[in-house]
Amino acid sequence: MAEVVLKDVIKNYGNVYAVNNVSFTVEHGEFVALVGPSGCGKTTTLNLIAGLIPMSGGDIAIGERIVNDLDPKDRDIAMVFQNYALYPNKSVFKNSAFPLQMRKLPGDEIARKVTDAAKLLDITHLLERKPRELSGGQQQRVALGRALVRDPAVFLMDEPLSNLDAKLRVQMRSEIKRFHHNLNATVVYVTHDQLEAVTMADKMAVMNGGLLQQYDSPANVFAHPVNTFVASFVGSPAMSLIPLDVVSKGTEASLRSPEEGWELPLSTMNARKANASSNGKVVLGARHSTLKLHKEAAPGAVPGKVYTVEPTGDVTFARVFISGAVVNISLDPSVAIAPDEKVWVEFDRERMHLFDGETTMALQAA
Amino acid sequence: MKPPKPRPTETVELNNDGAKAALQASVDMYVRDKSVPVSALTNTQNENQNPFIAGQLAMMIAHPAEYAKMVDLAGKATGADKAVADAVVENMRYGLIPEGPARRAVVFGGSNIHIIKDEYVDGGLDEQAAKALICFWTSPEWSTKLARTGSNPGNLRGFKTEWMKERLDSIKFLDVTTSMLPSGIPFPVIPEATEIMNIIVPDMLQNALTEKMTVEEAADDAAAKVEELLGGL
Amino acid sequence: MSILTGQETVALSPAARPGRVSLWRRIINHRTDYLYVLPALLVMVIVIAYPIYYTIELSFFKTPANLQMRDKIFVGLDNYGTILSSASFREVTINTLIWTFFSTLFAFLLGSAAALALHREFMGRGVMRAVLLIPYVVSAVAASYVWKWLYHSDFGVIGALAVQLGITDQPINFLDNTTSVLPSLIVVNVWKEFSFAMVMLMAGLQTVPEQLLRAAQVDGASPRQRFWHVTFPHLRGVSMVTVLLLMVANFNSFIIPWIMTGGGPAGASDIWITQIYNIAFGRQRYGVASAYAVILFIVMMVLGYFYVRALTRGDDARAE
Repeated sequence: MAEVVLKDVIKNYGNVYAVNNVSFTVEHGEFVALVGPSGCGKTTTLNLIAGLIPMSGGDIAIGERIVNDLDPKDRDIAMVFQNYALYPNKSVFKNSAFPLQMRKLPGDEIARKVTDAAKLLDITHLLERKPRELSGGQQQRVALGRALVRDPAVFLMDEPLSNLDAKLRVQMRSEIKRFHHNLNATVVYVTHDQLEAVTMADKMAVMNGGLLQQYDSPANVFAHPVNTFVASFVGSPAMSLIPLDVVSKGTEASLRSPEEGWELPLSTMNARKANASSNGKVVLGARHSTLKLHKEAAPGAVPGKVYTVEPTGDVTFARVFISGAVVNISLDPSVAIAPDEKVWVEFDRERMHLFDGETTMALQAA
Repeated sequence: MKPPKPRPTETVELNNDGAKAALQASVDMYVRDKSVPVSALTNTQNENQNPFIAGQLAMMIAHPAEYAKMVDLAGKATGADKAVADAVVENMRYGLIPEGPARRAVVFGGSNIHIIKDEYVDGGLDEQAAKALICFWTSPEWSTKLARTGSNPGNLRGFKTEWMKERLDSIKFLDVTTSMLPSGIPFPVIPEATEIMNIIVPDMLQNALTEKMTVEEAADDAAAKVEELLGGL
Repeated sequence: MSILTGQETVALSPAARPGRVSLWRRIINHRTDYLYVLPALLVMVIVIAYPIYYTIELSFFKTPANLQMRDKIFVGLDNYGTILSSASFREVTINTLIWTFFSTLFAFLLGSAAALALHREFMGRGVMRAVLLIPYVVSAVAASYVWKWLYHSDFGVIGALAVQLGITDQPINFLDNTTSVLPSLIVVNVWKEFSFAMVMLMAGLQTVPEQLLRAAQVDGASPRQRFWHVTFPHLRGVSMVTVLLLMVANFNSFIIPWIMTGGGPAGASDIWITQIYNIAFGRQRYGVASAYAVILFIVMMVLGYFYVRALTRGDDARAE
């Protein structure tokens, strides 16, 4: 096991930067999720770590070694792929044995390692089967087994759960987490599903447009998103974002709806942040759970109109139009509201996020 | 309907001594002396025309009508080919097929008229009309007209027509054909003639020339095939 | 010890079968489907089924050249006896097997090599691909005539080049010679149809999953090992189909041998098809030719059976 260090890593195709100056460090035994929408460069980053595609610039180190010019096979890595990438003509045993055979290990050692890995992953009874005779979950376990037998320094996983159905995905999620926990393995895990990242990873690297947006623990990313992109990408439902004008009154400040004219006074701390805005505008961000819904006008609450109501069982999500933006609010299922109903929404003055209206970056108190 | 019996009046001569000697002569030329081009084994008359007009062949066995074809080809030639082709045409000469130990001989071509049996055609057969057509077709005048450009009239009296004289005057080398007339041997008039001439005899030649068989074997093999054919396979 | 806690149960049992529906009911339910295939079916019956029937019928008759077809004589299995006992049958069959085997083998090998070469990215790949496709799109008749002249024993370009380069003293005798004629024809045939194998395998290569190749790369396989362990097994299905199609085409090939040699010289390049054509249309022996064609038909049906099986095996696997 070893740490993985990326320093100013670049991958460009002409003017298109798939990975643009990305740096982060995966500590030994850490589970890091690369997360972002499709095309954000997360899979490219993983392939760069694996050495499957050549880098355009920067350095990658695995353990103590700079691996920039090493072949994938010499990087001491194992990879698990989205569609399992099992050799269809080989039995499960031979699939798992393949990387060891390629390393010319003696036959009895191969057999021992494969059997051990199979026991660990509960696939001993499948060893003689061909991949097509296995279910998706079983295939993914075999793929994990094939990675495991190598005893690599780093496990690279490329959306390993995307091909599974929702229920199996939840189950395999915890199995992989368990796998990581028991092996104390260093894992770099690519996913487009922020929920997977949040639930599994020690740290998450949120990427967009080839750029690393934020690299931190899921809790910190959730609590302190660095910009509106991260804010809206992480969390389900997404953080609601409302563009508003800043009305500055010395050290005090309030936010005004440019469309509806209402004003929302800010706490002292937030006022300082709002006053730091570069263009007099901010984006107000709020998680659904920090919002309170009133059926009557209430002090500190701003008016809105119910768009949809989505009961999920133990919680009901209301989507409310506020100043032209859609805002998610979680409600107790007993609250009875209907679409088009006029409501008032109260913001938690301490748990609101303010982003710069121009740069979209989280505002710091001036 | 019974299968046709072998016709006892016909004897197969393809493997008699003369035929074998002729075949041997071909083998001598092709295999021993190599005095004929390698491609002569399979070349057809048409395939010889281009090499000939290109000045690549010294001699070929051909009908006098070939001269007209060469004039035609020379007319189509261009560039450097044109000079060669013109020279070839200019220098073209005909000789008679050489005389063998017994005699000079050439196989006649010819044409057949088939009158279909009444039962095979709709509308019945007007026998008088058919006979009239044959009379007309084989008349001295018409048979001369049909052989106008190259060959001899099928009806010998055609030679005595005024057009024959005109042909001899106007068509170059036509006299060669006429001169060969006394040496002509007609092919047996049997339905199997085509197969004998187009398949069995060429096979015999190829069998001998490729040395797949000896001359003896090739001739006997061909004779056996003809027997079998006439036996109504 | 298991590091995985959850146990997933996998249902591999076949889906419950719907109750048996009677054949008649199924036909009724699909009557429009049958209606749609009817026109094609009718055409097939007219242009395929009837000729097959008539060929089989004719194979039991003798059709002497001096008789009308309707006066043909029933001879039972005599025609088959004649063919199977004739000296030429053995020779022609050996020629056919040599022709089919080597044409298929070399067309496939050459096609695979070309496909693999063209699968890599390199300058001028598109042009190369187009060039290599030319033999396949050129008319077989035209190609045969061109090759006939290239090969010509006296005036052929190949012979002339060989002499000029000092390789031989005499132009090479390709076709006027019983030993070299068949190999020479096979060369033309391979030239003509290797692009077919190439196209098939290029299509096959494109379906080799990229992730599998990457997995093998990470697992430490060299390019050769990646080919052997991933690409090659993946191409097995398409290779089977290609080889079978080539075999069927070669068993049935007519244009190249017929135009270039007509089966000669002295029968050295006679294969079943040219022989059948010769017997039927050269010698008007329709009965014997039909019997010959029926024998060929049976061989082709056996090959066709394997072809269909190779094609549908994938379906069966998917249906499981």
